Amino acid sequence: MNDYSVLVYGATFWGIGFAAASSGVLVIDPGINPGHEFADTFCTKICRPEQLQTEFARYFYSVLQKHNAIHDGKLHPAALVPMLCSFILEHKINVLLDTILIEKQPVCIMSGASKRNISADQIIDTLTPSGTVWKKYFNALLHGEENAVIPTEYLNGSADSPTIAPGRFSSEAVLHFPVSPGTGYAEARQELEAFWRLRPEMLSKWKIAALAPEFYEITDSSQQKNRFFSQGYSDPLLALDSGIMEALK
Amino acid sequence: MIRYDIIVAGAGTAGVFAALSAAKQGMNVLLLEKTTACGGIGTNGAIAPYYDRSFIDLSADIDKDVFDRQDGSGFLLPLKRNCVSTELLKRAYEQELLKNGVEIIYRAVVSGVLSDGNHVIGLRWHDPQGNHEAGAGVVIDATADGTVLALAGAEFLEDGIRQPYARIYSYLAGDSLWNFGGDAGYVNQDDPENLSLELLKSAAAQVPEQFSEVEKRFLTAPVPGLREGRHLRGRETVRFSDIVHNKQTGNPVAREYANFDTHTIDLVFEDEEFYLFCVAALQWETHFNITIPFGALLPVGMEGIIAAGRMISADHEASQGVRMKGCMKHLGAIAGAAAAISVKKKISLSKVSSQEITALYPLPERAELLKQNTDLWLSDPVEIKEKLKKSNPGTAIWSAYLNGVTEPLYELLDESGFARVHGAFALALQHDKKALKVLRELVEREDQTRSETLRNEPVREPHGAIAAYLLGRLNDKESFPLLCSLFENSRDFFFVSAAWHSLLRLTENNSELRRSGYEVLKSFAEGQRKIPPFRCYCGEICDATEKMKSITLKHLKNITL
Repeated sequence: MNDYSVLVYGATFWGIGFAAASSGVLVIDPGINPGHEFADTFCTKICRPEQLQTEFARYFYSVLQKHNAIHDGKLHPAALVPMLCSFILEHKINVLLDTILIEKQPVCIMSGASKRNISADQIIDTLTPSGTVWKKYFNALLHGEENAVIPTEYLNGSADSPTIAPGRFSSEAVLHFPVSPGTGYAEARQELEAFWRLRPEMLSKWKIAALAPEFYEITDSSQQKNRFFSQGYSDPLLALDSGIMEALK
Repeated sequence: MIRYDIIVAGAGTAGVFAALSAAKQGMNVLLLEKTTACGGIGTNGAIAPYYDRSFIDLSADIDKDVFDRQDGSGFLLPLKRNCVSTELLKRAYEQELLKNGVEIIYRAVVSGVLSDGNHVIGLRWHDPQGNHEAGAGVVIDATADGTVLALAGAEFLEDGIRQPYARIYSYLAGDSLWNFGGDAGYVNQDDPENLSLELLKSAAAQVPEQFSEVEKRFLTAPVPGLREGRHLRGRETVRFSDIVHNKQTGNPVAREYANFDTHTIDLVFEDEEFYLFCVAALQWETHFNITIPFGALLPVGMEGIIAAGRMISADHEASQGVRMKGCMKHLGAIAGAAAAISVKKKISLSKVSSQEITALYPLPERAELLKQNTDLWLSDPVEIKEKLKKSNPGTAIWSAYLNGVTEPLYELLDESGFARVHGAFALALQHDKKALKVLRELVEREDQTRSETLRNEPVREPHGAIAAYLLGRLNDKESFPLLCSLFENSRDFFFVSAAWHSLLRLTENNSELRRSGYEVLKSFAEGQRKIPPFRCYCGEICDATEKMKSITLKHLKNITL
């Protein structure tokens, strides 16, 4: 089938939410990890279930809870990809991974070496921020050795300096490392590694387990103007919920 | 239009070394990478073991940099020795490339090829900023799957068989970082729907009952562990049969010293000689010298483009020995050097000589690489016979097969234990019907004994299952009822699949068995019966029912009753 009502660009939480509550939707993503905009930036934030407006989103919340991925308002980011994949299969959402949108008129998508034209009444881009990026972070997932604690100055630091957010487990935390909006991945890796090598003694019990495969970006657009940009939401379930709400409109 | 001397598509291990090698020859190089880091499966794929047998100097500085920087880096390091921090390796690659003037564009996916007739002259790509294009003296396809070559219209070998792939996540093991190598079954990455479905299924299968702090997970790798894809139809081809029969020819530009590191468990679906090699002769751990000729990197009928990576011209079986990091480095370096020579001398790639390439990257001369593969085998029948009595007889079985040793082995058939079974296997490989009696006995009692590999680990396939396969090889009509019974009643995948394989052969090759064999096979292919499952490397349960039914139906179509 090559005719769709909507082509969603980005297997993001918003995009998957939209597709879960719609029919005739194809979701495509350049990468292989659905929900990467939160999973691959090591998001540890999770809203309260009562903040969610849809059954689907509350259901996803309950599944995360059941599998011990949420505790005390904190999320275990590594749970997101496998859990969202499971959600996609369960709800038979039409997703093509490793696929890019190369032309919008006519709509042409490409997976590996195979290109195909499809028809879609609408394209919704959930990957590209519509406003200017005014804050950008290169995050790192931290593992704490025994008795590691997050120093208060990092827990409550300013958005313009490195901060550390606790994760679901006591030995899990995420370093939010601010970089300027024009910084590329090579530069960001270099800056972060240099910072970490010279980190203060109070962080010595923390080690970097992984660097984020993706930047976390915050735009200056209003929520309304930028409502499709999944990473514009403060946590994955709010993005999922919003995508579902958009489909139900 | 912007023009580069060389554009490299794909910054996996091969692509990194292709770009570096070309840049070191003074070339103006653009490197396009679809993820956000260099290193491919070796970094983004979370494969921390280094598997470095590249033997080339080009990687020495990088290796030293990474290993030196690991201690005191504040990064969680991998569990085992000879493993690297994949995060530090990403940056080491990147810094070395930038230092040598390579321009890197991340999140860039090649979307088209610019060509003039059969000559590739540039690339189009797509990144978050839109569509772009640039000209190039030479394009190096280091996309692993040969995506650029496919877009350019290159021909590929038609194997159709691939190794299982892995969907990897990193996690905390003790106080170290490790990766769960989850072999996740088969995928055809040329089919976008199949790829997506398998990626979703394999990640979903990794949801535990409870996420825990003890084996705390870090990251689902953003690059899948695809071990095999398209294989280029090159001007020369690396073939398994040539390697194991010591018939490699041509002027090599690279050497690999490796085993055929198959992750395939259901080897019954593979080429017969590969099954005999891996299963009946227990040889998959044996390291061979594999030589790679320059022509294996060059597509037939095309110019301006060269392959660097696991998509080189190699058959499915041989490719399992030429896909590791060390080999990828070497292939990348060679492709980069050849491209640079082509641009500098303004000659086509096919006119670049192997000698010019090896002058830049000499063939390594480490002791193990200078050995002949023939040295692996035993030639003395007495020694072969003695070795067959051991629990790990692989070398002796294959040596008997290669050297045609039969008569001295007949005595073993009157002995007991391993000697009797291994003697029968060695004879069956050579189509010697004297092995039949022993083989039938093993099948009759569904013998569960297992021999050991070279490393003294028990192999998966029990003697009875191997015997069932070999009865088909020997076209043993008398065992037909026995094999039917085994196929229909056994609860072990290895027995059922081996009996099935032999039934297909017996039905095809013997007119008197055709009708009854046809009925048994048709009843299976059209029925509801499920084949007993088996476990792949990571412990995932695999079901081969549909695969066996599909193959059976194809065979039945060719049978005339």
